[in-house]
Amino acid sequence: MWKILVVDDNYENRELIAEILRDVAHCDVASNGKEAIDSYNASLQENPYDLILLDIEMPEINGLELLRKIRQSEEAADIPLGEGVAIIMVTAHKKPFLDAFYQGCNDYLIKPIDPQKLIQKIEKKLGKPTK
Amino acid sequence: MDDDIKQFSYDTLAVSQELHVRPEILTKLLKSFSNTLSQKIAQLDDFMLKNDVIQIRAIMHEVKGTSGNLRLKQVYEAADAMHVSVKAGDPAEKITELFGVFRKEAFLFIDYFKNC
Repeated sequence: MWKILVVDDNYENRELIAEILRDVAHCDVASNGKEAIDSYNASLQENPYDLILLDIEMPEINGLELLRKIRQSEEAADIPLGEGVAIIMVTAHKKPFLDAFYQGCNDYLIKPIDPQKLIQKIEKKLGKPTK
Repeated sequence: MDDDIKQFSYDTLAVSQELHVRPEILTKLLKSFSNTLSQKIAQLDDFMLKNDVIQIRAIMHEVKGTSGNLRLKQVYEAADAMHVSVKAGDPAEKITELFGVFRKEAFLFIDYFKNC
């Protein structure tokens, strides 16, 4: 099973993604940037996330800021570029991805979520899940 | 345009299969979204009166994302039309008209799941 953090301020969206992935991943959910950072930091002590699915449009700390914070903390921990946690941005916007790639996201997904595309994109980064 | 809005239809089983989710979970999420949407409409009523385009745009963006994810086609299309119009800076009359369409579609959905 993959270990994934789903970050979205909308309850229905994050629960839907966790439900879609229930057979292939253990998903934790976070409803804002602070919760996400706390979960991410806590996971580093024991069992780090394989991947983060990150909504862009969120109040207070938005997805792009959160992406930047995670990459900065990896840099501070001397994690080589490209070897940090995989991050896929998820949004209904069609254009902000250039910024996201500059800041170190690995891929993106446009809402409405297509379950097959979602799993394909995760597999592309992580390979097939083990049972 | 009112003639196009007659009734709400949604096939929970078909959507649950399309999304690979359990029907009971999908129903739970739809009921939750119907409550969320009632609150969003109340906020939109207020922001429309104040002509607060930034807040209207943010709410429509969120509603569009969730309604699309839950395959609520009629709500999604009405939300998308209004979101595009607000983003384009269309005149208030056009946005008000599209809000009327969105509101009707949203309440058809809300009423449908209230009775489930």
